Amino acid sequence: MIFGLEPQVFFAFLSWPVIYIIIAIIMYFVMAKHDKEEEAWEKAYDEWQASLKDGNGQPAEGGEVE
Amino acid sequence: MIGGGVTEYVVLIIYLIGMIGIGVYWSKHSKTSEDYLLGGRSIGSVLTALTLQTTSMSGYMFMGGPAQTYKDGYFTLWYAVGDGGGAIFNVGILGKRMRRLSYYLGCLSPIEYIEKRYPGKATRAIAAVIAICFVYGYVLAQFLSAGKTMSALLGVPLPVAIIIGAGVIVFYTFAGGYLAVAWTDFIQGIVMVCSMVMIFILAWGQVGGLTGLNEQLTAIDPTYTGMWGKDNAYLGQWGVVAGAVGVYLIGYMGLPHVVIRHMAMESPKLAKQTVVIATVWNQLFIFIPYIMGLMGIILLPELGQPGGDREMVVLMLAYKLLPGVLAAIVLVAIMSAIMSTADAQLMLMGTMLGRDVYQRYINKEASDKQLMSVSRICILVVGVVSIIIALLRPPGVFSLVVFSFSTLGSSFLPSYVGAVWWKRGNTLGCYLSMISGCVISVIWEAAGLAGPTGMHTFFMGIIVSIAAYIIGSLIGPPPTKEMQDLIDRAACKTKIPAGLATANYKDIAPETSGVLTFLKDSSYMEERGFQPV
Repeated sequence: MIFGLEPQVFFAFLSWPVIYIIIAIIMYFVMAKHDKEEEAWEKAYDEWQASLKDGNGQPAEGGEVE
Repeated sequence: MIGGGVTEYVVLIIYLIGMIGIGVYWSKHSKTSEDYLLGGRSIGSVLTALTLQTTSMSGYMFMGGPAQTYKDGYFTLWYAVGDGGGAIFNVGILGKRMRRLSYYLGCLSPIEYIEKRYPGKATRAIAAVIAICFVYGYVLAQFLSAGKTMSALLGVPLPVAIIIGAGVIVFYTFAGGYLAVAWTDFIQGIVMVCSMVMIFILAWGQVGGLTGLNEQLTAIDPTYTGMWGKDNAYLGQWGVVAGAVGVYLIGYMGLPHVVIRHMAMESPKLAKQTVVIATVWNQLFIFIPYIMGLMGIILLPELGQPGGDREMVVLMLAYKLLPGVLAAIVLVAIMSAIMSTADAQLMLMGTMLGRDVYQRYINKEASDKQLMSVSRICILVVGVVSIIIALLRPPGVFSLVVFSFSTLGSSFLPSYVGAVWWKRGNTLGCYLSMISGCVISVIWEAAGLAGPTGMHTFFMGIIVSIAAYIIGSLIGPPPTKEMQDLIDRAACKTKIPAGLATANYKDIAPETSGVLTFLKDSSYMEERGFQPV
């Protein structure tokens, strides 16, 4: 018995709060990692878009070939 | 009547005045329609988490949930198991991508979002009709709950209670818009969880902790602490268990008044904090009320007798264990649970009627100021009409909530999830999904098929709706290239050329472009010690 409950009943119902909090914390770190990747992606995307707009047929800053 | 003393009146009046004050305060801060309808997309992680969860949890958590546990024992906790993880799914799956895509598409309402993601002549009309009808049902149910609770607890006549309770909700939503709703939700969320934890701790001591509670329950009836309900009423019914867990685990992703919270987030990056805050809050607020229902079996056996009102279990525990003022705060907490759901739904009604009906079909050239005014007027009209209907012919609260929840969830969930996770998801899939989800839910409920088939209305509706979405999307033409690019962008998966020069050299003279392509693709440069292009 765990806290007066059959083990399967305890795990079926009362283990979830702990499991969910652990999953949420793991998700936090996974999402934080994704955020960093997405931040780098967004920066690259913005630069790309800016270079396309600024270029107007001319190589833009950072896009020039030496 | 349980309360009805001067203390209850004073605490409740202070609370209601506070809510009105928040409405008045934020009314001065809404300058544009985006401010009024989405809080200027400036809602932080704590506010998003609490408004998301308090909106999801209505008065059911204080009354219906504990009453059900009192009746069925531990079996009812299957609902809590699903509900406890709802925020992980909701924010984790939809949060970031929906925030980005709705921003790129320039949407202010969840129905407009559906229309822009699934462009078609009938998209907004179908979505708006379903959403307006069933969100309205929800609003009506919450107004009735507010009135019934006040009436039962304070002893005031039901019509007076409905006018006061619903009137305050209508006022602060009308005046302050989304920011007033978010901030009142925040305060209501704090009141709700603090009250619940306070009674729980005192009741915990009275029953001798978790072990004491379970031992006493087993002594009364061993099936209370079993997995299949009192008297093993649900023995082996895994379909019912799957439905109970699944409905609340994923169901919120289909509710327009809940998913609009993702659109209002200040930044997609706040989703990670929101997941943690909402999940922790969920564990406190969802499991505790159900367990308090079990504590009620021990501490309030009289409620199990004929004529006993099990829905009052939490409140009676409060009056049994807490001094007067604190017990009155629990009354405020119950009103908070109801009001935080009602205000969000009322706000959504105003948004949909203003943006999705008025600006779309009546005055396409409506200015920002006109849109805000029309949304405000719609909130006022919907609120007043709901109060009148509630006074004249009140429908059953519980059936109205379950029916509205099931229909909204079944109709919209596949379209919201598919919008950001499946580029192939198209307009035909969206049409079929919305219509089939709605029709099946209505038929299932009207014909009372849930009992004989053992399939919950939501469960049946969502299965048909998902199947219709997939089939329709595979049959119909795929979304345009531009839309697919936006979905990729919302997922941060747009392929960016390896070097910016690559992007530029396509725009320059063909001869130069050819030379650069040669230099990039050949080893000419590297052999001569130059950096690759």
